[in-house]
Amino acid sequence: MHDLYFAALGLAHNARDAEDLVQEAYLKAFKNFRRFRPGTNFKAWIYRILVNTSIDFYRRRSRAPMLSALTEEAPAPSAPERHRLLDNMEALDSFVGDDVRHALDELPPAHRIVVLLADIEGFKYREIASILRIPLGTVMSRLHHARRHLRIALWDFARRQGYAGPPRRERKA
Amino acid sequence: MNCHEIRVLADAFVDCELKGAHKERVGSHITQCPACRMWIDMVQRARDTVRTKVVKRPAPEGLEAKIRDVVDRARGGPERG
Ligand SMILES: [Zn+2]
Repeated sequence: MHDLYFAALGLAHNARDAEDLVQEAYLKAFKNFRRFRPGTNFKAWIYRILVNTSIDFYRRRSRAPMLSALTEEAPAPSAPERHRLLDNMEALDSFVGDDVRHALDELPPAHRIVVLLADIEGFKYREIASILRIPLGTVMSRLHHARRHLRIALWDFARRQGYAGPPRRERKA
Repeated sequence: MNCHEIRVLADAFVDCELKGAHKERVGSHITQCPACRMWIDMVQRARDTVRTKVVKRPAPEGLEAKIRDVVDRARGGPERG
């Protein structure tokens, strides 16, 4: 339940909505339980319900951004990564507590959800494809863009927190 | 495969989600290309930072009871299907 709530936070606009989403998802799971095929992945099943619930939820409230945002491709980050983290990888060691979460919060929903499913929930690409109902190749490319986006956000965050100085390209690691 | 193509595949490579020829090509490229080797290392380290450092916020107290409530009510109510 805690895992699902955390995922819901990534899907919802706020903590209140996240609570509603989890409740609704559990209710749907209960009502549709006979559709769950034993032996298949229960965790992936309930996450798919959660994702569908969030899409319905925001469609109902006609706050459309979420609907397309989750299922359509988010634009790749426009700024080139310019190897900034590459030169300052030790900045990653400074991240604590909620820091990564803050960087995650800066991603567009379509990018946040794939990182959440792959790196925080540990789903395989195949499972993510089935949860989001997108082709495997799309999972692969979206995760690639999402992580690039996240590295930029992590780097910006590290700079703001003073974890990292200016890039020093001349310094060989 | 050029360096750009290798970097596009880097995420799937570090996740062990790359199969067959793609996997072999990335593997053999990085034995010869230090820049892509560093890139792969960075992708992996950034991923591992996310994996290990995200603190999951626990669900608020009372949510579990609310869920039980909602499900119990549904159980008592008419079957849907
Ligand atoms: Zn290369």
